[in-house]
Amino acid sequence: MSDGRVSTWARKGVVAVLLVIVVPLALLALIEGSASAWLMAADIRSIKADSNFRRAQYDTLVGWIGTPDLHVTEGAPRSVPITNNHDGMRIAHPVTPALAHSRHRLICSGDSFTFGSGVGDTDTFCAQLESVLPNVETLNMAQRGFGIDQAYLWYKRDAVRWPHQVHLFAFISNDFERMTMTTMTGYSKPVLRLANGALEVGNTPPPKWKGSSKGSYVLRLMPRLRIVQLLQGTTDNSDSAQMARAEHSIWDVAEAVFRDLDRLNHERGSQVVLVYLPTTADMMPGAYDARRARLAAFASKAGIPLVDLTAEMRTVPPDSSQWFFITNSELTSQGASGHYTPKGHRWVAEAIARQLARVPSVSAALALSAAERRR
Amino acid sequence: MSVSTTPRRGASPLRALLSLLGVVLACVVAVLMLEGGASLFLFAGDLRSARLPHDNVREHTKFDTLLGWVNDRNITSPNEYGPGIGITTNGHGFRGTRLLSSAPAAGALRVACSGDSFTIGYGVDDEHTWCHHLESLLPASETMNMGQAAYGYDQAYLWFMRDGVPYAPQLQIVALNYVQFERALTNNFDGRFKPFLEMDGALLVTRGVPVPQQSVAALRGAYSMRVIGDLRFVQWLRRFGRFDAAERAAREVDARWALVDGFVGALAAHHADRKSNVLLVYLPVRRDLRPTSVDRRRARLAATAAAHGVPFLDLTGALRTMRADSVDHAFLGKAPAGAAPGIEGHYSNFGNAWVARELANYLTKDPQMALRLAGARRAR
Repeated sequence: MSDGRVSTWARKGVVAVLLVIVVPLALLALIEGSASAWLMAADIRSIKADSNFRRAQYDTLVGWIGTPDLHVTEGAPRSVPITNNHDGMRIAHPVTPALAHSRHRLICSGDSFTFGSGVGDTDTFCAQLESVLPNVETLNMAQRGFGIDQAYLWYKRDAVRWPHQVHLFAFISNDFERMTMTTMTGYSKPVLRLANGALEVGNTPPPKWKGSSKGSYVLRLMPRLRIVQLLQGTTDNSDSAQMARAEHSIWDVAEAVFRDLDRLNHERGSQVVLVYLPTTADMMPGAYDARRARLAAFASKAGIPLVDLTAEMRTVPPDSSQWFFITNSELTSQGASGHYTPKGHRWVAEAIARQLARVPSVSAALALSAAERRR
Repeated sequence: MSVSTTPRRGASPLRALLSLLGVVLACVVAVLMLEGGASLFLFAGDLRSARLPHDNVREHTKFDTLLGWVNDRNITSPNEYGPGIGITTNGHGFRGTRLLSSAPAAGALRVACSGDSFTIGYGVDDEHTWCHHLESLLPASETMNMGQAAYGYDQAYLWFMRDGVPYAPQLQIVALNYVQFERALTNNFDGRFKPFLEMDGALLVTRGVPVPQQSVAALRGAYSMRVIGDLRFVQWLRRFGRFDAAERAAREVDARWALVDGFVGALAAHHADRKSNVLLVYLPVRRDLRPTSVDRRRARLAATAAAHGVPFLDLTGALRTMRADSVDHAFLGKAPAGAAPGIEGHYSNFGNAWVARELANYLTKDPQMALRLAGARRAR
């Protein structure tokens, strides 16, 4: 057989393989990919986004803080009042920086759980603390979507003109992950990093944001793409692995934040208390427990009081504790699902009060009586 | 060498635009093919990794030549639905621990609860099923929980006739939900062989018995069908009514309604012969919260029950008027680690208690039903 004939046969073979295997497979892939793109486009079209669901305004340091002097009601079918003071802090009633001699002030820092997403001004655990701790006035310096970094920066800058005796620095597990982000659902934010052992603010001023948009939700839809699923299959995406990856980049920063908060509070004549707020993800033993244990070890070593409500909340029967959390269908406002209900806030307030009374420096700062310390 | 100053024909703006469009189109096609290729690759991987399913539906069940699967007797699985949330079967194979005498005591009311996983209490412990709750809500009553996971109404009916009738319950509560109608049309559930009912003229007859021994091939085949559902093209097709599985099933149930009619008629005839009572209950699930084609089915079921003189209680309306947060709490959410698969969406403790209260309310407040049950107690 001549070389020319061999090469003709080889060419025919390649063409046959292409026609029989490669072309149909490519067509299948094209059809499947087109269907996926169509479904994704339909999902994106169905997104309904409230552009500024946090009722916040741009802030050059923190990213966003509450709109000053705001009074609105939001949510459906149950609407709740949202009231801010001139500094953008959520308040249940008017307050002035000056504090009467017989009164004590407690500042609550945190994210949406502390802000009280989905509940009214007077329902938040921070507001409720006024009724469970005697002669205490509270100030809610929390914002929806805050990470530990933003709560710290806001307190550091704006709390100084509000004399206070106790600072509850509250957070949920996910607030550590938020420290790794430069945007949060369409709202840009600063990031903290350590430079030669000192805290340094990055991504500042954060780019001006326009608020939540369809675009900011598209990222959440990405896992529906098969290519993303394929890539995810190559990495360990268990809760513990994801948490470990986040902690690797921000744990030292978080510890530095906590230490600086301790220092700042001492300077301001206050006692900081770290408060770990359990979410539904904490209600069963799991990956989050390792983070809580690490946090407890740090707090003990640093001498910073830590109130972790997880163990106590787990002792509440599940058919009772489930009423502590806003359910999907009960959505009072965008993003409220999973946050504390008024009942949950009340429970948290009472549990925090019980645990605060056991911290000598706090009970001294709030001048709690012996009976209140024993409860 | 001379240089031509004539513009090249191919360099026109239109040609440049077409080239650009060609590049963009090629990029789009490449991205789509990448996405499609990834999907086909994942699909092939899922098919390959099909694990050998368990022989039994759950460890507390065993193969049964009449029913396909049924509870084994005297089984305890203490962490079936999560830590400390167990299931126990008694010596009759019913859920619970108490053994029944051959007939109820004088003045007592024995109630058989027939149905599927929503009746057995899939996801809650023995004391939190709606069937068990009835004992505390109906005076001097004892219940026999004859619910079984993944049963159609056909299997529930056959199990009651074989194993429930000998204990002479004065009341049988037949709890139905939308999916039992669909299960009753096939000879397998997700590849698990089962019997089915057919109408032979006016007669209700059992087919597919003895149920063949389970084959791995059937289970693998059913698994493959589920994996096909992960393909985006299939998901896209299902957005159209013609290919929507739920719509197709609804059409089939409608087309074969004579079977439902025969089933309700057979129940009515049996209880009339035995001078016992039957109550048909529609147990709504999450998808019943919004109007769907199942609404027509429920209405038709109500009409069928009325035609055969069988009392019918539909709890859908009550669920739809429930507070939104209560609705969420009535159904189980995320399953604890190690729990039986698929417990999400079943009734929670709260949901089971709600069903029991609604049932007890009907049984004690509906004048006709209350009268019938009072008579049944006296008859013993």
